Amino acid sequence: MTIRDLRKVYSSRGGGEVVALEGVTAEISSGEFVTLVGPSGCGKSTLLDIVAGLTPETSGSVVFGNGVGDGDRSARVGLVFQKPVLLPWRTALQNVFLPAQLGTEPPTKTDDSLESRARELLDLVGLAAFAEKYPWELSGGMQQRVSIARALLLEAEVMCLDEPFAALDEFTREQMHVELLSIWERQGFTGVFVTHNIFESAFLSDRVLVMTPRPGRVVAEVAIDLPRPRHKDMIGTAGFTENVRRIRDAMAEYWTG
Amino acid sequence: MTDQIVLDELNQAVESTSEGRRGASLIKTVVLQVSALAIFLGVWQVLTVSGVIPSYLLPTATEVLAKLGEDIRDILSGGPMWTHFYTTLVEILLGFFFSAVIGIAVGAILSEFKTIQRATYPYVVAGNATPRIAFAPLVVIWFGFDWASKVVMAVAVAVFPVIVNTMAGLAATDRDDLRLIRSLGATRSQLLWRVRIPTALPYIFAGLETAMLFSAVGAVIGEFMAGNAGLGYVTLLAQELFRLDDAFSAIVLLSVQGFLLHRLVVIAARRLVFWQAESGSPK
Repeated sequence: MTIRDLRKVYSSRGGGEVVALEGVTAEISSGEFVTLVGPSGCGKSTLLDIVAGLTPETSGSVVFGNGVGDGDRSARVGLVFQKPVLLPWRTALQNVFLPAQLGTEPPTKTDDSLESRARELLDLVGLAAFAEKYPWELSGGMQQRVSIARALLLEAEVMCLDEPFAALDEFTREQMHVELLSIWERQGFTGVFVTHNIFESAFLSDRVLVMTPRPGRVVAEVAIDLPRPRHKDMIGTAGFTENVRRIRDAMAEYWTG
Repeated sequence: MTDQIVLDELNQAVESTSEGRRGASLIKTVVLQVSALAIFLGVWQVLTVSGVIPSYLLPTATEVLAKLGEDIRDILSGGPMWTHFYTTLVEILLGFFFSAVIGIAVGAILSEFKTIQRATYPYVVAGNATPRIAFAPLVVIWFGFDWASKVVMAVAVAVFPVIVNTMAGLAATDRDDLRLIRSLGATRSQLLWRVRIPTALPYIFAGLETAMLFSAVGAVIGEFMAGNAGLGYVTLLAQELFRLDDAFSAIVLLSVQGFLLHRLVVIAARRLVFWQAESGSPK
């Protein structure tokens, strides 16, 4: 996926213009796990929305692997939000199945095979026994796992995660990190993860793109040199701390809060 | 799977303690409510029997209860009171039915077609602000002395809460839900059927609850205006004959009728919008 010279301008209420993104260029290889990290207002969520096709760019381009560009982006991107955004009148299984029921093009597979895929995905996120439960019967961590399973249903090649664990408690979040990575390793999608948590970005990523605000731009790129698969034990090791420090330094060089 | 175990334990803990407590507190509540009624009726009885309130203004509580018992027996045996009871019941139900159908349709049209909404919304607001009861004499001229004028009055009073709530419900879809659905490439009609209508259901049912109560108001007003049947007509006749116990009995029957009809809507809402109570969210 190639992001080239992306620029996004919002017109503000007073008639002025707010530059949310300026000259953002990045190359993300297929199967890579990349994190966009930066303080609030640096445009990382806007960038994610543009990649996911939710917001049009003002100029520049996002081109996917085999040259597929605009228009068809939403079908190729799975999205996970900060809130699980599950429909309360649907069971966990029906929520995972939702993407198959939407869109102008009917799914190429039959409904039956998609439903069995939905069950497999619930199994993958450890919720096989909760398929018939409603969202309010699940804990926050479980709800977010359902939303990850939903994002995986149509086998999108890119998975965009917008601060998906920010609302979870520390312990659940750490567990979700490990689970997300194991799902990523098995499914082989390209991960684009947005966070303002430097530890999270270091633990998850192959590469961290450091962003700064006003206007939002990517100012540095930090390659994480921790081996895979990653374990919880790595947190606190000298190697992990060193990676965190490099992300910090990269940000400090360009930005003073 | 630790989540599961913790969740189950929690559920059990909550259920076992609250079930016992709920049983005890339910009995307590019933005792309190029966006592309140007994005190109310006792004070009424004392005030009327002692002559503090003269009998031509207020019959004694026992007189009213005796008349009520007589009316209920008459209803159960299919006597003239049954006809009155049944007439009002049908008027309320028809009024409710048409209010629901018209209210949901108008609310949906106004929220889906913005041009129509912009052209007519001020008049909907004005209509809602008008005391529709003022139309009652005209409604009799247009729809006659029979049941039709009562149903029209019921609809006139009851349709607005349904319109307003349908519009509010269809506009209530969460921003995050919209973002999700758009990211999945949903069409307009998929968005409507899969998300906006389910989201609107709790609002629509809140409107229907009000509509059922308002429909009874409209039906009784219709009976006051014209006709020769119904519980509203019975109270009017009782006034003319100065039979205050008859009037009270009919009012109690109207109250019971309204309460039961309202419960029906509440029960239907709990079944159809089963997620509302449990999820604890405005949805």
